[in-house]
Amino acid sequence: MGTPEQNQQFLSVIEQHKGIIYKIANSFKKDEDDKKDLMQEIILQLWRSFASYDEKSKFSTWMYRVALNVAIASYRQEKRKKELITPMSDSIITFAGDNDGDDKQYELSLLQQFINELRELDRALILLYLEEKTGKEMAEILGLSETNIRTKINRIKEQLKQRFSKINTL
Amino acid sequence: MEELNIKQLWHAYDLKLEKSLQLNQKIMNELQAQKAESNISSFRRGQVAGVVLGVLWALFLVFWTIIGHRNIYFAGSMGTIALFNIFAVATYIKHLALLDQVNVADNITVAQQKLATIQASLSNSGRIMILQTPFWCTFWYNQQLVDHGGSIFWIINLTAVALFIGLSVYLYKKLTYKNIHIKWVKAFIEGFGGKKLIKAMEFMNEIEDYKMEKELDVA
Repeated sequence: MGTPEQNQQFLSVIEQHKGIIYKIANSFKKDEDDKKDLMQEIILQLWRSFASYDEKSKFSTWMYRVALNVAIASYRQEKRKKELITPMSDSIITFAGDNDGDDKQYELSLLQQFINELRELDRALILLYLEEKTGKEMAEILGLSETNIRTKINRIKEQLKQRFSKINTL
Repeated sequence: MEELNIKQLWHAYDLKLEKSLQLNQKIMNELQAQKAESNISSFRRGQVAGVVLGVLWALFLVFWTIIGHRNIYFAGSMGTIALFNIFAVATYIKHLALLDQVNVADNITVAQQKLATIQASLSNSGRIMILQTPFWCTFWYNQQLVDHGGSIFWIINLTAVALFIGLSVYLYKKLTYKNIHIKWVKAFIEGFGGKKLIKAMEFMNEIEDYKMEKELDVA
């Protein structure tokens, strides 16, 4: 437990960046309970490392690193680590809007499905790309060179394009 | 679907989330307070319980080694078994300490590589326990048996011990990830809880491939 100021500060940064956590959980887990658990685990790890956050790096870089590391590690686990999870029926972040059944929603669910099918590292990379991260920032988060990042993004984009065109020709 | 469309789609998704996502204040507060800590503690308690049980088992073996020190065959066998078990417990503790040192805020490839290496090494270290098997065949020997066992008894016994030595050394050498392409090795490793090892090794290879991938610019 931190000081009240730290608690408040953490709360406000999570409020500000809750979309990142939600999108990462959505891209790494299909099951609703698993998504809930992952969001909670990400926030827990962020809270645990919050005190050691080095202000030299951008906050979002630090946050993506922690969140993606937790998501990728949890993806490899066979069972849910119930011991780590606070048993709650409610989700820590909830989507209160409606999923209207328009074309955009359909395309978005396809895009999410295709992202879900990618390898873990590719998934992390395309998420960063869609979040408009710069090549330098992506390289810092993933620990790869910018050229390597560019090559991989082109490959993944090509993959996604092909998946969409297959659907369109059906 | 073109690049711009994918990004536009994602942007629309972003806007939707921005309006509709709500942070559950109650869970956040509980997570920040003692509830999260007690849950971490319960996870730690599981690990500590594992260490305590391992230490108790090793102490039990050491205790019997000391009690039976007058019988060189019993003490030798039990002492060697104890050493294998002490090694296993020490390795487990070392790995838990290493896992604790992994910084989740490191870059993805570094942190995941560390995690996968530790997981693989932890699962792999159990393999050494196979080598203690032959000593479970000799701990009941005593001087009287050695002096008066008779040749048939010893031929049968030593053949059994030799078989166990051969088998355990063979399994120790064979049951590694590099032999995972052999069906029975894979089945054996999976059957003994080695799925984590396989996953960790596969992921380590994936990270290596990812880092080494030819940097050809397609664009």
